[in-house]
Amino acid sequence: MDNGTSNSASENETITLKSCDGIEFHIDARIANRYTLLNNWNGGESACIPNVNGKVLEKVLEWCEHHINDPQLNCGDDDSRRRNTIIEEWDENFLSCDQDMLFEIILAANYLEIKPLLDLGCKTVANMMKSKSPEEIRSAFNIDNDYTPEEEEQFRKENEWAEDY
Amino acid sequence: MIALPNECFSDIFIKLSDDNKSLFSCLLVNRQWCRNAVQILWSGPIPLKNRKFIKTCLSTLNDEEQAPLKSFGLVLSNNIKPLFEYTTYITTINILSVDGIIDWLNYEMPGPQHFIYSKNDAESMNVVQLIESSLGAI
Repeated sequence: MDNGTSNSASENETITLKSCDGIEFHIDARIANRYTLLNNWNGGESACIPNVNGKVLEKVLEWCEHHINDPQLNCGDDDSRRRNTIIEEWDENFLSCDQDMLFEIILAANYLEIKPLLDLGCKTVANMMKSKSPEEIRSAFNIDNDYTPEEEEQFRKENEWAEDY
Repeated sequence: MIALPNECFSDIFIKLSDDNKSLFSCLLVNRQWCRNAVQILWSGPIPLKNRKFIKTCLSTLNDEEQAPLKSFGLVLSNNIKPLFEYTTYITTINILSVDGIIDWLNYEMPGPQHFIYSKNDAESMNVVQLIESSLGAI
């Protein structure tokens, strides 16, 4: 198993990233080594990461720094990783932020291809939906119902087997 | 709620793939959620004995596929086209349970004069086999 020590960057090396609103971050080069896309924006003078603002990038980098020594994922773990919903305590506290920030982190992790963080965000949202009715989910996430009543009723009937199974 | 791309929704709903009840709620939230959750629900474990499940599978049959059933007096009351081609999302090969089909027949298609479909009755089993072949190995 790769425990992260094979990264070529040394502990003292830093790189500079800039958010889309111009905030610079100096981070451990080993982070950028783990998540290839971050490396693309190394050298913040002129390059900045589009679509990710300073507030969100700060959170994303905080997570990356905390997990810098995590083992790298093997491809074979992918399916079980995608399906399980267990979250470690530090990560749970880390994502106990407001809902907008949680979704911003998911978007940024998706955009920057930081898969373990994307996975964690998705688990958190999935856990928020568990055992809730459609109305409770709509109100928890402030979502409008765009079904017509007839369509909703038909859809409910066609899938109601899932309720008993 | 901040708009998420469809691929993120799939990543979220797959976490609920062993929790059909929660997935069912997600389907009913709105159209975008539904489009992303329905495939995950139908590609998961299939309740082969559940008559409501069998009913939805049968509702996806077109007129030509329904014709042999009609000749046995089984007229499906699905004038409304199903909202999705559900059976195309099924990923595992399954054979529907005879018990489930008999349950569906007795519930949805009661025969004349209190006839009750049963596993021990040859005529009932003919109908069951016909339904099995109409749906194929779903």
